[in-house]
Amino acid sequence: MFGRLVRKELLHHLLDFRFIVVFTLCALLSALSVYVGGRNYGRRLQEYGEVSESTRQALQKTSLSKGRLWDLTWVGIRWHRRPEVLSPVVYGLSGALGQEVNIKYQQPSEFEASPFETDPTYALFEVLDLAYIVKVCMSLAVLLFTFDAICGEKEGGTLRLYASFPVSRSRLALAKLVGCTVAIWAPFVFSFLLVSLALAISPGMGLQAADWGRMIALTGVFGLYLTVFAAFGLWGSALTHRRMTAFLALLSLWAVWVFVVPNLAVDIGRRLAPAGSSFDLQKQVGTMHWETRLNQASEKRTYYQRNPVKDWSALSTADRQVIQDALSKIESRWDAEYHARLGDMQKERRNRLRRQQRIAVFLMAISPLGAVSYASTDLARTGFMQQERIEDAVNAYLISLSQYVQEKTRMALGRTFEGVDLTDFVWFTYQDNDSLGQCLSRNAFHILNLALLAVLGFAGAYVAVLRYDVR
Amino acid sequence: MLGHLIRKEILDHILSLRFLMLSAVGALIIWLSLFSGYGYYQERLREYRLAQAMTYDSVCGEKEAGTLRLLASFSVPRDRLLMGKLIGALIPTLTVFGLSLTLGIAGVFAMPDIQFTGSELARLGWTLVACGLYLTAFTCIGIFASCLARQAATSFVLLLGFWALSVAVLPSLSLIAADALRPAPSVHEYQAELSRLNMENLEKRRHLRSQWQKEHSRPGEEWWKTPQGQEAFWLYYTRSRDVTEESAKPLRARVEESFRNRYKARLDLAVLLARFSPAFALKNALVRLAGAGLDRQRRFEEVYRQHKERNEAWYRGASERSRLRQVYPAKYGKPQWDVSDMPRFAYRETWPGGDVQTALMDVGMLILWGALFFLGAYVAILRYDLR
Repeated sequence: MFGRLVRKELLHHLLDFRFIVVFTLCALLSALSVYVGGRNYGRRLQEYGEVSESTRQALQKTSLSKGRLWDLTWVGIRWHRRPEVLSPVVYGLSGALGQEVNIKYQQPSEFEASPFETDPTYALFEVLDLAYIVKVCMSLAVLLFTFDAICGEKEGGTLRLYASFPVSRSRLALAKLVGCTVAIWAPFVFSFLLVSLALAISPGMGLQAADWGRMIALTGVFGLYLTVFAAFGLWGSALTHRRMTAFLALLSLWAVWVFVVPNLAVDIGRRLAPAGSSFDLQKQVGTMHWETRLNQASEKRTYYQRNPVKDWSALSTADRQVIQDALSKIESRWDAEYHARLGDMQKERRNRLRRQQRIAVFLMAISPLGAVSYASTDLARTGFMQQERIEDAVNAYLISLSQYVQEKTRMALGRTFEGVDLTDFVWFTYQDNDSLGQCLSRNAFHILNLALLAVLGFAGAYVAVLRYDVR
Repeated sequence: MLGHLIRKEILDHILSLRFLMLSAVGALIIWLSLFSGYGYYQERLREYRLAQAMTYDSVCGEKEAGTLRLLASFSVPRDRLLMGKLIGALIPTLTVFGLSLTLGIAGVFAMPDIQFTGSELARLGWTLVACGLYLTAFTCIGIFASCLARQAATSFVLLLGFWALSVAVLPSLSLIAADALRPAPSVHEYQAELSRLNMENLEKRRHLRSQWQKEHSRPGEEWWKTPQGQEAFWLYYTRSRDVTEESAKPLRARVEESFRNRYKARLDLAVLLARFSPAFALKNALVRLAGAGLDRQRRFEEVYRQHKERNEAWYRGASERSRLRQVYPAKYGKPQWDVSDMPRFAYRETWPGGDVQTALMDVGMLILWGALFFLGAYVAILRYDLR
C-alpha cells in the first residue's frame, strides 16, 4: 500500500503541467549554463596556455639565457593561474580573484587581473552557472511543486478521500514526503546528468577521476539543498488550509533564505569582526618593505664606512668575495626579517577574515543557501580555501627565490646584469593536492547543517500532516 | 465605473495577507540592500518577483475563486476591467515599493558622508522612474500571464519561465552572438602584444647602449672613469631612450586603439541584443545612471593615461637631472630630489548627459515591454472564457 501511495504522489507530480514546464526549463538552463561555462573555460584555458608559454619563453630568451639576474630581482616572474575545470558548474569566486601574480624579489605578491577586471563584460552580464540555476531557479521550482501538496488536495476535496484509505496517517504522511521528494529530484538529477555528459564529451575539459568524485559530491550537496526546500515546502503546505497562504508564506521564506539571511549575516559578520581592507594591508606591507630596505641600506653603508673601498677594480677576487659575502649576510638577515613580518601581517589579516566568516557562517546556519555556497565553491575549487593555498605556495616560493637571488649575487660578486649562471633556475609550479575526503571533512559542518534543516523540515511536515484536519 | 473597479482592486490587494507579507519582505530587502550596499540587480530581481506575485493570479485567480464571472456581469467593457485590474495592482505595488525605497534613501541621506549634487539627485530621480517602469512592465506581464492561464499555479509557472528567459537566457545568448559576430581579442592577447613591443624596444635600447659603451671603453678613455664620461653616457642614454620611445609610441597606440575599438564593438552589440530582456534593460539603465558602469571606468582610465604620460615625462626629466648631479656635481650641483613640481593626479567626476540619454533608451525599452504585454493582456482578456 505504501508503494502505491508513493507511486500516486510521483505520478501526480510527474504528469503535472508545472513539472513538464519546470523540467524543460531546468534542462534548457543547465544545457545553456554548461555550454556558456564550457566555452568560457575553453577560452581561458587556451589563453592561459598561450600566455604562460609566452611569458616563460620571453623570460628564458631575454633574461635566463643571458644570465641577467638583475631581471629576476627588478622585473620578476609572472605566474598565471590555471582556470578551474569545474568552474562551468560552480563559478564561485573565479571572476573576482586575480589570475596572475608577479613574483618579485623582496616584493609582496599581489594577485591581479581577475576575469571581471580584464573583461568587465562578464561583470555586467553575470555568469550563468549550474550553481545559480540550482540555488535560485530550482529552489523556487521545488516550492512550486510542494506548496499545494497537502492544502491543495484539501481545497480540491481529494484529501478526505485519500485519508479514508485503510492506511495509518503516519504512512500517508511518509508517502507524501517520499513521493514529493523523489519527484523534485527528477529534474535536478536529469540536469546534472546532462551537465556531466556535456562536460565528459567536451573536447577541452579533460576531467580527471578526482574531478568526477567532486561532481558526485556536488550532486549530493545540491540535492540536499533542494531537499531542504522540499521539506519546508511540505511543512508549509501542511500548516495551512489554503494554497494561496501556503504559497505566500513559502515565497517569503524563500526570499528571506536566499537574499536576506546570507547578506545580513555577512554584513553583521563584517561589523562585529572588521578585518580592514586589502588596501590597508598593502599600505602596511609597503611601509614595512621600505623600512626594511632603508635599514638594510643603512647597515650596508655602515659596513662600507668601516671597510672603505676606493677602487673595486683594483681588489683581488678573494677580497671581492669577502665583501660580497658580508653584504649577502646583511641582505639575508633583512630578507628573513621582511618575510617573517610579511607572513605575520598576512596571517593576522587572514585570521580576521576567518573570524568574520565564522560569524557569518554561524548566523547563516538558518538558511541553506550559505551552507551550499561554501560547500559547493570548495568542492569546485573556486572558493577561498584554494586561493589561500595558492597564496601560501607563492609566498613559500618567494622565500626560496630570495635565497636563490642572494646566493647568485654572492657568487657573481655583485655583477648581476649579465653573465650569471641561471641554468639551475626553478620555475614556480602549483598542484592542488587537496583530496575529496579532506574537502568533505572541511565542509562537514555545512553538509550537516543542510541535513539537519532537511530533517527539521521533514519532521515538521510529518507532525503537521499527522495533526492535519482533512475535512 | 472604472473608478469603482480600481477601488475594488486596490482594496482586494491591500487588505490581503499576501500584500502585507510581500510588502514586509520587500521593504526589508530594500532597506537591507541600501544599507549594506547590496547589488542593484539582486534587489531588482526580488522586486519584480514580488510584483509578479501580486498579479499572476489577478485574472485566473478570480476565475478559480468564481468572482470573475460576477465581475464580468457588470455593465463594463472588458478593456475597462483590464484597466481596473492594472491600475488597481499598480497603485499598491508602486506605493509600497516606492515608499520603502524613499524611506531607505532618506535614511541613506541622513548618513554623515553622503552628499548629493544636483546632477546626482536628478539621476537618482531617473533611477526611481526606471524602477517604477520596471515594476509596471512586470505587473503587465503578470496580468498577461494571468489572462493566458486558467489556474494560478499555471500562470506562475509561465512567469517563472519568462523570468528565467529574461534574466538568464537572453543575456547569455546575446553575449554568445556578440562573440560570434564581433569577436574581440582578449586582454591577455593585447597585453602580450604590448609586452612584445616593449621588449623589442628595451632590447633595441640595450643594444644601442652597449654599443656606445664598447665604443667609449678604449683603454685610457674609459667613460666611467671621469665625470665628463659619465655625463656623456647618461645624456646618450636619455637621448636613445627618447628616440626609441618615440618610434615605439605609434605602434603601441595602434595596438591599443585596435583592441579598444574591437572590444567596444563586441560589448555594444551584446548590450544591444540583451536590451530585449527587461531585466537587463533595467540593470543597464541603473548602472549608467549610477555611474557604476564601463563608461565611467573608461573616462577615468583616459584621464589616468594622460596623467601617466605627464608623470612619466616629469620622472624622466627629474631622474636625468638627479643622475647628472650624481655623476658630475661640479657642473650640475649637489644631488637632490625635488618633487615640488611633480604632477599630481586629480580626477573630477563628470556626469555627461550621454549616460542619461543611453539610460533613457533602456527606460524606453521597459515602456515598450509594458505596452506590449498590456496589449497582449488586452487581446487575451477579450477572448477570455469567464465561465
